[in-house]
Amino acid sequence: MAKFTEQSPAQPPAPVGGLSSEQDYRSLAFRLVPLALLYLAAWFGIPLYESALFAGLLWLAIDFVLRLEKEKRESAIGKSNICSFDLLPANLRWPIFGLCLMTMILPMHSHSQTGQFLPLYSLFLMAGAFGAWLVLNTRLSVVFDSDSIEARGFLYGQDLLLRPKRSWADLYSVKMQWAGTSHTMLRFYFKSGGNFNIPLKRLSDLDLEKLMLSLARYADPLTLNQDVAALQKSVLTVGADNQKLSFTRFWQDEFQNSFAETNFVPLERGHQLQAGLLTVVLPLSTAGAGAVYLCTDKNDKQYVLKELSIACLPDESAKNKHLELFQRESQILARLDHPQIVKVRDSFVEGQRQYILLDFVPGLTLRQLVRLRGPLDQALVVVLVSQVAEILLYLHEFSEPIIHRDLTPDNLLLNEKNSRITLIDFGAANEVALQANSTVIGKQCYIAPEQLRGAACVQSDLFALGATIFFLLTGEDPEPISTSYPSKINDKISSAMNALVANLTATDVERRPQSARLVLDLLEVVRSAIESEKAQ
Amino acid sequence: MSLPLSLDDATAMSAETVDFICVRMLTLESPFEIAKDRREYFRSMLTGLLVTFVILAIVILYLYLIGVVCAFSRLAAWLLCLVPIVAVLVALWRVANGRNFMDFPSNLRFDHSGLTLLWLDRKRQSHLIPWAAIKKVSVAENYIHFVVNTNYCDASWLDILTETSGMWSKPLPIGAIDGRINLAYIKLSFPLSSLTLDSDASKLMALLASKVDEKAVDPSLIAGPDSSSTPSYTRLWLDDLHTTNRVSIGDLKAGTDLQNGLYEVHEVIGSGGQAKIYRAIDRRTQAFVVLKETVLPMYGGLESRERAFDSVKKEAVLLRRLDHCGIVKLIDNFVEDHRAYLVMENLEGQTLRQMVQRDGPLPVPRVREIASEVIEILNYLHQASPPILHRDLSPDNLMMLPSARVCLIDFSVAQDATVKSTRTVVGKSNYVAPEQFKGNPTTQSDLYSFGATLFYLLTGHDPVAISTSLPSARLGHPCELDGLVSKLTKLDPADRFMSAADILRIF
Repeated sequence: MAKFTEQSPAQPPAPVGGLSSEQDYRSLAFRLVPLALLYLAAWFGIPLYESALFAGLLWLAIDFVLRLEKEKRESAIGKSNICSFDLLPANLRWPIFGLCLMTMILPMHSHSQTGQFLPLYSLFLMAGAFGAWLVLNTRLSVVFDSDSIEARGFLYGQDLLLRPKRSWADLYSVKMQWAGTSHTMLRFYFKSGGNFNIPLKRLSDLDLEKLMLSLARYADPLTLNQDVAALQKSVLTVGADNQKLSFTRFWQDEFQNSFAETNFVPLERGHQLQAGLLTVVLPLSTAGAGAVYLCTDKNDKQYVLKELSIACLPDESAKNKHLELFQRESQILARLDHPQIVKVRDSFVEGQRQYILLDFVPGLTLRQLVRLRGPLDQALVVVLVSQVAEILLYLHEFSEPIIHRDLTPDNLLLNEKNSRITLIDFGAANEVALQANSTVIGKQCYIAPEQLRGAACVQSDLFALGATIFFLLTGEDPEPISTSYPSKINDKISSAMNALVANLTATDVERRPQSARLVLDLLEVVRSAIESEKAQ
Repeated sequence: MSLPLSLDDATAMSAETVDFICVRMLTLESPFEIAKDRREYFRSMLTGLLVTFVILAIVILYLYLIGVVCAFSRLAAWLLCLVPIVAVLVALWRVANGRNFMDFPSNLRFDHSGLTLLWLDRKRQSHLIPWAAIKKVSVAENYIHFVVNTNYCDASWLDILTETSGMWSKPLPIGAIDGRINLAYIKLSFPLSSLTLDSDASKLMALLASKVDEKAVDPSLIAGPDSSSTPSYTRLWLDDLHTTNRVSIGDLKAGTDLQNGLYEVHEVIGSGGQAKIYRAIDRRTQAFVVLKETVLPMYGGLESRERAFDSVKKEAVLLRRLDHCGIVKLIDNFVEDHRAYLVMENLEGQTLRQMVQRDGPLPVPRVREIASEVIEILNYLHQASPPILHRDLSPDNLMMLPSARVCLIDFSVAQDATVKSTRTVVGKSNYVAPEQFKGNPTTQSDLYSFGATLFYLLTGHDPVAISTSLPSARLGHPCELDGLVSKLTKLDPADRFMSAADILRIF
């Protein structure tokens, strides 16, 4: 297996600095327009007070537009760390602005100089001007720097006690608060007083990712609420394409099991491995004997790093056996080359711990998918499971069949754009734990009985496949080490499907389908059965 | 000490990694405060907009009034104009003079030196009340009351507190100021609900219990929200939640001092699923102790850490409840550097697994002796009210002492039979009963593990998982305890013995 090496940069380095001089002149020219208009107005005899107001508002509007443009440009390059959002829907802003200006102009039209000290129409003038100014201030932005958070916007000022720039050390807690599903807010509290909030729905996907990344990089992890941490993990692993996620609390269950007490200290963010080649961004799960991290290389390409602690074993002989197992496992993994199995980039031992470096694959795990959508439709299940069966076929058809041993809905990732499944875990951790005969936490619903007895075989994977199908169809984990019948939970499931699942999860090895190829054929049968049932 | 703080001071203060709790005193009832549902949210938005429009309307009408009056008399119009200007000037003068619009502190800060009142909104000031000045602390009706003896501290802040508030009348978060006649004793109260984090309440209790003079602490404080068994241990569970980073990321090296030198680490003697075991010396008694260290997760949000902390605390509480010569004793518990430690008595000897690995399978009479002791321990656990399930009985968790007694040493996954755990735990797979795999452990599951352990002692080999074991089949020759072991490891819990007491009668 090729050792992980630095890859050459894929694109030329980003341009340094902000605007070019050409753009400077352009913005200056734009800003002079109101002054020119003011001069023109005076020349035409319009009173100074009104024209000054207009010119001022126009100047503010142009400044606003230029700032917006600059932000867009910078975030396209990727240089900016500003997250902005509008309190008003963006397409309402200019119409309301126009409306306010009209409120100013129209009364003026009907009145000419009346010699009054403060003519009545000036009330409309003031109201209109105030409205216009307010509209321009509905765009709020938060800037995340390496040493400070700054909340820009007039409407933030009061809550932040007029100190908009705060250091990261001043952050006390970040919480997620709900006021109905479309008004989820992220609230930042500070130790020295003050708070501000960001409505999550109004942030663009890119900005949400920037926000979460900044929190991961700079904020003290203990300031984050569990909901915020779960959101952070999901944004950084599932990807920026988050419209379907409605910031609800459904991440709770599996998230609770992902971060538990351990007997080793997990790596912190910013930790460097392999002499600086890899940098840890965020731990994705730390529980029991191993941890999984999101990390980046020098070119900011993302990888997933799986870690196993050798030191968790009682004695030297066990440690050596462990290392040997690890070597053997990595050699096997190196030979794998399938588009739907995540590629292993590297494996190494560092600091008394073993690591496997995997490609980062964005997407939802099947468990998250079922949590989000509910139990899946049978036709979809057939499509997805056929892909999994093909992956198993590939693994089993090696001269020395590779038994996966840990096939669960958490290890299968779905890319929703092309409905492709990727297998992302090899269960090395589980196997090692079972071998070392140490205490295991978590329901073992997907492990076949003979695998527990130490006699894993190809059909053990098929048992796990059957259990997975049960989960996809019903949304519940099957009962461990027993045969599952999905029809008992949902009677709309066709009998062919029910029979398939029951056969796959038979406790006796002989009674299961003996190979993945046979399973694929059976799935075809099930598919036609479903179609014919639908036609009826 | 009353120093005006600069902006740098304010941020520097919060950037210190000193252990402190900062309490937000102001409850700004802004219309944009978080609402529980969409309707309330919109209602508050509307209220906010309405308020803004009303203010605007008043301003505009005022201007119109000026315009109208102007028609009659220029002078009157000018006078009317002056009114708001004067008002603005007065406000500016008050700000410039250091008088806050909000006369009550915006934050309270509790740290090792005392209670500090902070005004962090406009004029940044702070006043420290040292712990020595606090005469009494008590808790009543979710308010915490301090009686401060102002003879012991600089009481210039009193001038601010006792004055009525300025132009705006604000709700008073600090209530009752008693003893106006005798200004030496002042009572401050604040609601516990103003603490932003729930964990702060228990942390505050522990801090007060440890910092304030013994005589000043009211009993109501000890029986506060967080009560472990005895007050001294409440103090020790002061969890250092706000230190940002871990100090060390590896195992503790030999010679490391913990708890300010109270314990000195000697060596690592093993590790289990979630904890590492060290041997250490307790400097007070110069005796060896065993430290069980569990690393608390720092990522995954505050709640994950608290949950992990709770499960270690649960183990400690359980161990403290038990008192049996066959169960290891818990001496102490503390948290340091985001790791939770349980200090247990040091037991010389070896685990049953090590014993069998070294000397080979044990003869039947020996196994009988060990079995009778273990079943007595199990009986004790199961007879407790509520019954305690151990869930992880195996040769690694039983220790043979030099006095030929057996001791059970690991309770990390034990729990009350009545508690429904959200995390299903499966112990060592070879020793776990089938129903425990399925997530429904009972006292019978412990009996299965007991039978599996006996199998190991008799044959020297781990039993096959989820199957009925026969020692004679493994050994190749008949064994007296065959019937016992096979009845204990039956797959159906109903086929096994009814309880540990039944087995006890056999021995």
